Amino acid sequence: MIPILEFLLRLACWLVVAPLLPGIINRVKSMVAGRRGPPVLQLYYDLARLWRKDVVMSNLASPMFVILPAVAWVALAGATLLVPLGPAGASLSFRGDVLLFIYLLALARFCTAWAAMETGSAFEGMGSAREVSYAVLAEAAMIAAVLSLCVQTGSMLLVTMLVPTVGASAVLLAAGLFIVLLAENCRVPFDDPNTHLELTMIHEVMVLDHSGPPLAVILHGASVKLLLFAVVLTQAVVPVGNFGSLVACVLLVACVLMVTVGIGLVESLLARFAFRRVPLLLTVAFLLCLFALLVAWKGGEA
Amino acid sequence: MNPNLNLLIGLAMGLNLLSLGSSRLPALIRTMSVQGVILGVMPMLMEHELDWRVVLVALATIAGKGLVIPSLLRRAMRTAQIDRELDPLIGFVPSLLLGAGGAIAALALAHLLPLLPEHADTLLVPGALATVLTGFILLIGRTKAISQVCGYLILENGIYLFGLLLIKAMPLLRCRNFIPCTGYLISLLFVCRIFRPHNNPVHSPVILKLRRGKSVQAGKAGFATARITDDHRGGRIEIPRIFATFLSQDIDLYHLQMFTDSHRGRQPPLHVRG
Amino acid sequence: MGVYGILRFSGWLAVPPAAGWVVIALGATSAMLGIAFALAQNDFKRLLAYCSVENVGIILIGLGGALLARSHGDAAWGRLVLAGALLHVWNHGAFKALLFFGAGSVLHATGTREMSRLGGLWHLMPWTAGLFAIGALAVAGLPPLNGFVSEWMIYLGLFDAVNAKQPSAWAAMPAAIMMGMAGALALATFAKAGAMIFLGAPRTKPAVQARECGGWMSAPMLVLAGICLTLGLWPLLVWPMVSSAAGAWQPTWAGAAPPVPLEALGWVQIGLAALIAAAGFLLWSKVATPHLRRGPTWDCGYAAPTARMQYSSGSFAGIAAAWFFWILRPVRTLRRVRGHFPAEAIRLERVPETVLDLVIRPLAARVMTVSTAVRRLQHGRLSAYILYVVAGLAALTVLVLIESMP
Repeated sequence: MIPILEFLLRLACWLVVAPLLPGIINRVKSMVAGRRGPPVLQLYYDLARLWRKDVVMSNLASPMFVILPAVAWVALAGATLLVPLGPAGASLSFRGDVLLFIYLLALARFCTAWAAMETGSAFEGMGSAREVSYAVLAEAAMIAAVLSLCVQTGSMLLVTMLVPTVGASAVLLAAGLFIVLLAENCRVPFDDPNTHLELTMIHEVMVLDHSGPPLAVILHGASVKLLLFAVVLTQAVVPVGNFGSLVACVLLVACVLMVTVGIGLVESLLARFAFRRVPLLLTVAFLLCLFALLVAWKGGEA
Repeated sequence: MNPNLNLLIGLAMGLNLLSLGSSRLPALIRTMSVQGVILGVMPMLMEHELDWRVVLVALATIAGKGLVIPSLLRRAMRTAQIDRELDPLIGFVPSLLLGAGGAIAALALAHLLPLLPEHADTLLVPGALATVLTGFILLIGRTKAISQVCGYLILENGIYLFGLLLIKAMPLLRCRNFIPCTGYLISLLFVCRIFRPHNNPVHSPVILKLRRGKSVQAGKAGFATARITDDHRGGRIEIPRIFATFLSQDIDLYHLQMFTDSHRGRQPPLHVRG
Repeated sequence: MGVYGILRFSGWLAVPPAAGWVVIALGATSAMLGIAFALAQNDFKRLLAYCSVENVGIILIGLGGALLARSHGDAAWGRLVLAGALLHVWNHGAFKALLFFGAGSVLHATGTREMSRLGGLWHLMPWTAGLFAIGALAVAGLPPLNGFVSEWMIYLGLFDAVNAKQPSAWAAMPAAIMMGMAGALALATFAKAGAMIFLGAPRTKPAVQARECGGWMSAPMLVLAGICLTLGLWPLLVWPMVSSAAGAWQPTWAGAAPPVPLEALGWVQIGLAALIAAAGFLLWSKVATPHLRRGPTWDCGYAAPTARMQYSSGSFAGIAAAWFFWILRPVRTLRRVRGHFPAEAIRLERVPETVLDLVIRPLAARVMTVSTAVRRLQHGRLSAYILYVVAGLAALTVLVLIESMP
């Protein structure tokens, strides 16, 4: 009984807290711009409203157009079962689960790209082409980051891997993973979530034709993905597990909040990069993670 | 002292990569000046007793590399109205990967060199090698003269780092002054080359040749050459851009660039049908 | 077949330790370049063929890792990598055959292999589309199918190699990173292939006139899709065979106990598949009410949209293929409008058959020239043939005499 309760509680924690993050980011952006901004709980209201609406589908789209967002959402929710929440641990843990985590994110990406191409629109084609291409470099950076954590801790389980040692390696990893977070969650400087110009979008244009409950599922999934990356970034850099239960919880929440505010500040202070410069920035992220790996390797040898 | 020293050298190596990835000239100049300042501070950390001469040389280095040379370069950029965007010969991503590969190789190979025990566990030698390599990549891979000056200055930073190895071996004054002074002289020479023709562009030989009816052809995409063809005699002189200042006093890089800079980046061969 | 040869002989004969490094380097390079070539193709059968190059590259990474482990004292991670490689051979057979059958079905129905001439075939060929999609998921190595299981084992072995802090870690690190990039490129390739052939609007007439293939063509595809699903959801089924093969290759690795995480992975994949089916069904039932409206795709208010305005296979792959221009050698054709009045303008960028045109054709031409010249000796005159025999004998005599001289 208790394990099932724990399982449900952890899952609920992930799924309920996730929509808060885009709200916080928008609040930070509004404050920097001198506006009052939307309420922090805006995404919750949006999701409830979208769930009640009807769907308009393109003539060219198959039922997969509606089913694939659900598949992507299940993949992301499954990924939340693998990532430990500080001292609360993870619901599922086995050796090599970090690779399952990476490939569940890839599954979500494939489903979103396939659903986008269903509409037969040039806009969605553009978004899918950009998303799947830049993901190649982001994936290289993720694998280098995972290798770095693996070398530091000597383990292949997410639960025991996310206990880093503080040092130069953690700083490099923080910078690299932050850039990967911005890329994978389609934030400035890779993609502007507020732009209205389809030609400049990546993720926004992939969901252009969705409406109603499937759109709600996609938006919620995107916020879950953001929370996933924020928690993984926090635990890869700050040794949360070394502290007592309560302190660790507070530390985790504070750090995730800091990451979110950081994303908001980056969005306010930077402009979106021209697309030809995106591979350069992702290469920088890959090199940062690679150097973190080499520093961890050196540290292990010495 | 060692952890601080390693931290500073690590920062300098990070700045190397930043300079390889910058696509704008002001950013490159800034990176190079910050690196110079960081390296200027290092002798003060390496010496155990702070002599007034050490402090003086360090301050002179910081002033020169951090203030004087960057301001000269910025003035040149403004006066000659040089385009702020850099046109790379080796693209930004390949040069970044080359620089990172060089840094990793330098770290790996430094173990094989016969170093003094006190230098063996610092990042001095790998950092110096990596900085020299970065300077070379910038010299080879960028087309604008100012970016090549910055590349030369980064190369000189690397040589300076090597010079720091000799701090204990040679007496203070001789060692400390020799290496930076030659570096300053050569870099000032470069910078002045950029200034000179703006006084009288009319007398530039390229423009003179054009007036006499000879043609100046653009080089092939990817090659930094200008061919000045003499139609009457049928002879050709190929002058690689990077050696222009050494070979000929009068050819200035700015005007060369104006006329020869038509192919940017690597595009697939263009078949243009009329 | 080549992989079987390498596997067999490296198991029997003594192999120098450098062989492991060479094989893993070859594997990583062919994985990356193979999928880059596949991404740039416009012909879907060529795309599948180049994708096989990538998968063989992954198998060679596993094999090279096993060779390295053997030369470094029979490390336990070598067993994992070898098992992954062997399982990938089977998985590749299953999903590649499924994809080729799907491709054959499309070719049979439309008569063309150009992806940019197709589109919107899901409506006319739903079975082929669905089964091709399953094959695409499998080849991209996505859970819960079989491609993920074998790639996961190879990754796990490589990561263990890095943990073991032996010299072989320097081969495992770049191999793992390149395998990751190849996997992401494979995802891009099959998103492109599936989208161009089956999704959107039909681009040309053959695509409008397609019909679903008959039962005889669908049945093998169903069987193969079933195999992909089974191997993905229940990897322990084939573990005994794989481990006995690994044990035959290296006796110290014999032992039927499966790695513990494989069992856990099997259960996770089953759970994932069940949840996917449930969630998909629930969302579709929520949406498929009479209130569901259909309308044309948003086209930014353009007055006369056409099917040709969709992304083509070259444009979808354009971003990533541009990074590999140095080996793909795309050709760009440009015809600008000149003068004051509107006229037709053309801009075409196409990746040619690089290996065929730049490597095989010139080589073949040279071989033909040489052989044509040699052929002149074969003219049918008996007297000349006898002359050849006598001349050969004379040359041999001279050689023997020279040899026997002190």
